[in-house]
Amino acid sequence: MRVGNGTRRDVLRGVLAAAVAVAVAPFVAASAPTRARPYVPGGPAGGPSGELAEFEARFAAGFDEMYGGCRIRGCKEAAAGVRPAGDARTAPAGSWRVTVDDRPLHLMRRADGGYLTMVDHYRSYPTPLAAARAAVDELGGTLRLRAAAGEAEPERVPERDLEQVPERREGHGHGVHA
Amino acid sequence: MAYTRKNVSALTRSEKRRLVGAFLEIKRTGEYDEFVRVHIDHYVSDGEDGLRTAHMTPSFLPWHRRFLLDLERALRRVDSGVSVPYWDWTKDRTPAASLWQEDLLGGNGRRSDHQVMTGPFARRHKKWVVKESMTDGDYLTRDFGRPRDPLDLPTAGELAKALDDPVYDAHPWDSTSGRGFRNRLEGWGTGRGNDAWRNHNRVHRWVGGHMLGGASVNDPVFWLHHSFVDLLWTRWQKRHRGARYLPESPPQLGERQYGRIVARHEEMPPWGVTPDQLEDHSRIYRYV
Repeated sequence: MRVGNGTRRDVLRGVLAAAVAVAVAPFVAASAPTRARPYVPGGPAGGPSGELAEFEARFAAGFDEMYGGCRIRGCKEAAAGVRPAGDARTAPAGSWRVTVDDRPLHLMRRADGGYLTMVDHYRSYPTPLAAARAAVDELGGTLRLRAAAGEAEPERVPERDLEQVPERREGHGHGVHA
Repeated sequence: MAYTRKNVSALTRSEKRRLVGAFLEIKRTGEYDEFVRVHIDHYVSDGEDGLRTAHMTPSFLPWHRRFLLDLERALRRVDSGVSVPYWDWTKDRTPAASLWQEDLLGGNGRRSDHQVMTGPFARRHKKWVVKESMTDGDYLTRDFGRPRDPLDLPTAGELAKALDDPVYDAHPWDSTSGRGFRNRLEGWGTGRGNDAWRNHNRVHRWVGGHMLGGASVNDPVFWLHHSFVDLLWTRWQKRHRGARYLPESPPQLGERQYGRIVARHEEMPPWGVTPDQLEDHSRIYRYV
């Protein structure tokens, strides 16, 4: 399968030539390899999983705190979210749903069990709450998370019923979603 | 005939002016925001299901190479004389560096809200209004050196540890890979302090503001940073002759990374090109 240098160069040149001919958009997703079984992250020895286990035990019923002038709330989803067609990023069962001032904070899971957010994206944190606090720090008291697309203001989250919040999806997979 | 990418500190006044002009023009047409969206949409974390093409994955380097080529092509459609310069952050390490001056990227964000107030990308000129972001602010933000939790740019020594690694990437092919040039350069570590985040990641964190998040492409320095990261891949190839992109073949059914990473000859979304096709850029551009 090894392709000679000349060939590769030509292909790269062809790629560029093609790119010149076509506009940047549309970024049509090429056929992606199919998914394997659902992946459950687990921390390697020395990873954050110990701290996370402690966190999960302590906040099994969720958390709700004021931090940096913002209200951070989180709860663990009981069941797997519905996976919209083409979305490979829907949170699996048992993932955390977090809001900052009622706006969804998109948490991502790292392979070592840590968490990162779209606001603070080039490091990870040991727990969902630590990641959410870091995101609030970054908002700096002046910015708010962007509301999900199509909503001028997100609906208010009922006090005792965070898990009833309907799945929010943003238009392009950008913005934030929990 | 290949064009050149220069060190940003070597750009002439005219080259800076033309580069800024091209950026502002593709922002005006809306094309630039498409790049911001593509980067956001392709951030799949390695603790989640799904194919990872851009981060925490072997194809981090070819994905960003192709991404940068697309951006550069858009700029060159506006002005065929421009290319994306590189920012050598091991040398230009302070806010006084030429790239942060009024005639190119402008400087740090102001203290109160991190809003960039200087240079052509300041909100008040109305030519660089942020549209695709994680927050509701429509202005570009920076927070050099993260004063709340200070860190420096990566050092040449830190970078050398990545360049010295003779293997492109290694099992488990994600952000926990303990060896391999790719993850050492991408910069995922373990632990909680700032020292855990190295090289590429650390630069994103040092600039701060938009560069800290998934919408990092909103800051034009994103491209200067990735131009240097791209150059580092080329330097690594020269240092380790014959070393190739890994993995050469895809993980098998039943393996943890099956269907989640791009092997050397597999097509890489959203373009359908393979890492193999992107390993050699010498006919397109070269670094000077």
